[in-house]
Amino acid sequence: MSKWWSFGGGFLLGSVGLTALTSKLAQRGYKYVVAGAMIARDRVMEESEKVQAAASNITAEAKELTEKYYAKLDAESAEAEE
Amino acid sequence: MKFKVLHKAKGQMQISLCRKRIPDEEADVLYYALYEQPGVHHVSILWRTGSVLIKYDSTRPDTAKNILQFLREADLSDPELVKLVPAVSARATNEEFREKLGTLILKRYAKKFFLPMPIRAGFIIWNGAPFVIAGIKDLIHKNFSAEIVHASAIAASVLTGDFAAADSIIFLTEVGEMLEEWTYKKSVDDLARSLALNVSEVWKTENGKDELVSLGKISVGDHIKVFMGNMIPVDGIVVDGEAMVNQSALTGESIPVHKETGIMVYAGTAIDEGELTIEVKEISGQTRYDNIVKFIEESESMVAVTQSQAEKLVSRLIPYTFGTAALTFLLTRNVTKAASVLMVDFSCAIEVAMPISVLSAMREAGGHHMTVKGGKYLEMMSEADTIVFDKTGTLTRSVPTVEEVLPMSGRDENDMLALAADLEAHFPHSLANAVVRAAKERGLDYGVPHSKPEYIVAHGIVSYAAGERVIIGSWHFVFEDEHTEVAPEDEEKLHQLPARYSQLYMAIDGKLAAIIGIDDPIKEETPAVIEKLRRSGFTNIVMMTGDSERTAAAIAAQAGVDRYYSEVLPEDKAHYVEQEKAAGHKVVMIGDGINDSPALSAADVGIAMKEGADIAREIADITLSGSDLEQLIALKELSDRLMARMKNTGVLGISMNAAILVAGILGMVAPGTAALLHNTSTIGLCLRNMQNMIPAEEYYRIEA
Repeated sequence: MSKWWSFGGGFLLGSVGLTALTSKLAQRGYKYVVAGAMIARDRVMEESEKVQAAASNITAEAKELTEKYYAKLDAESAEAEE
Repeated sequence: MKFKVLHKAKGQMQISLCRKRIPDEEADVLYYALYEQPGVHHVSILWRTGSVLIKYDSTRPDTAKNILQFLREADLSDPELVKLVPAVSARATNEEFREKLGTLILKRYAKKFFLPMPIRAGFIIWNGAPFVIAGIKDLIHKNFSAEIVHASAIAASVLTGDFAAADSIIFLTEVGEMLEEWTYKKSVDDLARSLALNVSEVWKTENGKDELVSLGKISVGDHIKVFMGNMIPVDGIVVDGEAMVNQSALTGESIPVHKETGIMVYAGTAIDEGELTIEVKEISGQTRYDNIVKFIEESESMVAVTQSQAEKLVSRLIPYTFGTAALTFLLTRNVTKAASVLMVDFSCAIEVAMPISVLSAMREAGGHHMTVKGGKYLEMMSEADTIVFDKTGTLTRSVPTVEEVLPMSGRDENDMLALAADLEAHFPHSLANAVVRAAKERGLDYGVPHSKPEYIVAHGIVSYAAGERVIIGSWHFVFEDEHTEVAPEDEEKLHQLPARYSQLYMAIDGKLAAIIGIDDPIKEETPAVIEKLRRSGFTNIVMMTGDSERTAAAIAAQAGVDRYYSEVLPEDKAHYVEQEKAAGHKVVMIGDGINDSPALSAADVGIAMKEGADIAREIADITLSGSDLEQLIALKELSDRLMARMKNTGVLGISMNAAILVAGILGMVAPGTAALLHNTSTIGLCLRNMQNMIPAEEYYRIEA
């Protein structure tokens, strides 16, 4: 029984489905889909730029902190020597 | 320009331009304009979010203030700033690749998570087919390349139903190829940019009058004049004059070509001898740029010898990979294990990561303001043990000054200087420039009528003024060649000037008229640089100069060179270079003048100083910016590290892949995992090879 359903389904897909998928109407719809995908991609890349900026800022500040830390260590050991 | 400081830390700031997106043209202008500001190390234009990241030198207190001041005053449509953007923007190329890479990655994960398996399988077969077809083609032509290994890996995965493995192989191979293309394009573009026109002003001739105008103001149909030693900045037809033109930047041939009226000349070539008046036919920066890119790509010097040796070696291993796979199958009757052998491709790391390290080294040199025209030269630099320096302008400051004008009895000092200056004004030699400058300083630049001076290379010039034959030149030329007489009362004057002055002798009508003493002081860094070069492996440091023995000896002693030769003719310089090469040494030659061209071509590595004649820079393999010799040290360091890195890449590539191979055979990893490990390790190696070899802080230490 399900064999007939598969056959019918395949037949429909091949005849009606394929024509529908490639029809002018469908094509007009596709450009929205592709545009949507491109915009989605651009949004993702935007977010990645924000991450890039944040990461850069964080490393810069972290570097500053470590420098202050070492400066403090040096100052302390200089005091200890006195 | 409207902006807001979003974040400020030591050495870095993030600026928002108060807008959502920055268009490409403005981003380019801002990018290049910011790099011009003092102390700026790195600029990232985050154009999608409208902000800019600037990394700068925080050791100097004013840097940040200056940058902010610049931003406040800048107008991105200002033509002065727009001029800074080259024909092909590096920033634009980077963004293009970033976008391509981003799209590739996103597409992959979108398909992985959203598409049902059968459709995904269809895509995988569709994307993998080109690789498989390429592999089969190579197999048919009996060309054992890496493509065959990739193809078989993909085919094996698909046939065993392991679509995930096939997908990751295809994806990672595509990423690797894209990274390689990116690095390649970046390096070729950087190189082309530095080789491209740096001429900003040309002599425009109209109705017999010559005028210096900026290149931007020249249009098609104008007539321009180009003098000896200078670069021809446009494409055009010769309307007057005659010259020998060196076209090596365009065609690679170093033999100069004769050009005369009616013949086409091309932008980027340089005049070896003579002078041309050219009618402009084409000024476009783009065509010249494209020509340079084509020339670079076709040039063999891009590939280092070690690299091509390694590639050949590895491609011989490919048949063995198949052998091993077949053997594994026979011994273990396990298709999976055999397949995992095919996933591991030794040549991949070497074929992809090595070129990347060479190109990256060239780009890094460019970042230090040195132009390296090919990987081969860095390799030679590392292996060289002999280095030959030109004296004037290389070891000595290129601004020699006239210290004394000694007229012979009956001659007036100022008259002699004026005459000499007018004759010397035609030549771009640094000693000639010194004479012209001295005359100008004394207000003596009135035109003494004279015939066109004839330049005898490395000897002197000959001309006629007021009916008398005037010659100016070296001792050898004036006395030995021309047999000039010296009046008895002037005899002692010959020895009056200090030894270290270069001496120009001027004779009128066969009798000595004046001696011009020019001081050519050594650059402060020269002795230190020579010493450092010796320590980094140069065993034979030689100075060659056309100057007299006395001056040469004095400078040689100060500089600390191993050997020096004085009163050398250009052919002799080339001859010495070839002699040393024949004896098995690798020779580096550094010069800046017209008379260094033969030697620069003959040497294994020819290096030109930036202030040198255009022609020296055209022929040279490496150009140093500025007159600072310390860049040589950085260059040598860079070259040594590149060789070390290439060797390291080979070793790592083979050992990592061998390990993965063994793991695959022993069944410790599935083929899919083996492929993943192989590809990610290769990409990791590529990314590492793209990093700079000399980090910024260390660079200053090397030079110190």
